[in-house]
Amino acid sequence: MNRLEAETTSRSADGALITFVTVSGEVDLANSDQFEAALDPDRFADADGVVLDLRLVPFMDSSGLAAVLGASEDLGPRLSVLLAPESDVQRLFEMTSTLDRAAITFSEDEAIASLASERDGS
Amino acid sequence: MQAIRGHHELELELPAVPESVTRARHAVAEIARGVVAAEYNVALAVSEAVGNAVLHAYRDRKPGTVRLEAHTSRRGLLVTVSDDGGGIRPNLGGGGLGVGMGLMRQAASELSLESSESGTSVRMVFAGGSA
Repeated sequence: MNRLEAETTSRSADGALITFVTVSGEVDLANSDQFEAALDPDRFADADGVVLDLRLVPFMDSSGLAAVLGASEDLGPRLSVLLAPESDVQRLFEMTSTLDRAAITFSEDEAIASLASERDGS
Repeated sequence: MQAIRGHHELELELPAVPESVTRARHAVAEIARGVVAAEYNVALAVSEAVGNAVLHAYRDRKPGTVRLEAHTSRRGLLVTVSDDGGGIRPNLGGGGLGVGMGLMRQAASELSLESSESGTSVRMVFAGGSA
């Protein structure tokens, strides 16, 4: 089994409740159902924003990408996706021309600021 | 699985189940290390090719297997993923993004596909060079 870990924590940032979903491990067809379940929008009903942290994901294929884009559709401006710069996961978004289908950020501060600006409508 | 060190060859037959995507990718990654210019391309293409076989080859059929062959050459790495399923057919209402074939074409230097009612074979070449 391809082991995937998804740790969920919540904290206040800029007066908002932000839930961080930190994923570690490879994401492929063997565990994309588990990954998708971790991104179920019902889990984030009380959160003002969600940061999906993929910096510890060394590999992801299109099954994982589908789950991320699905979450982006479900959560809309409440989701920020955090990637490691120049990572293979970033490369996957580039190869599929989907960088603009999710709010991609490269630092935690940037992710929180992105969510705040969406809430403020700026 | 048979991996011959020094000759960088691999032949693997796996059940067409999701866990085989991981096994196939890791097995080919061992062969590709230090041989190809872009190891991620190999990992991604193998993941997509085996994933396609798992999802689609035996749809409405008795479950079967996915075969993986890989060997190095002066050109780099040659990988073939094949199955004895029903060939490439429209998957109306199926899930997924439908980007697997496009990703394989981008990732591989060369790609050729043969598909019929007797099965599908995807042959990919990845350029040699060190990362």
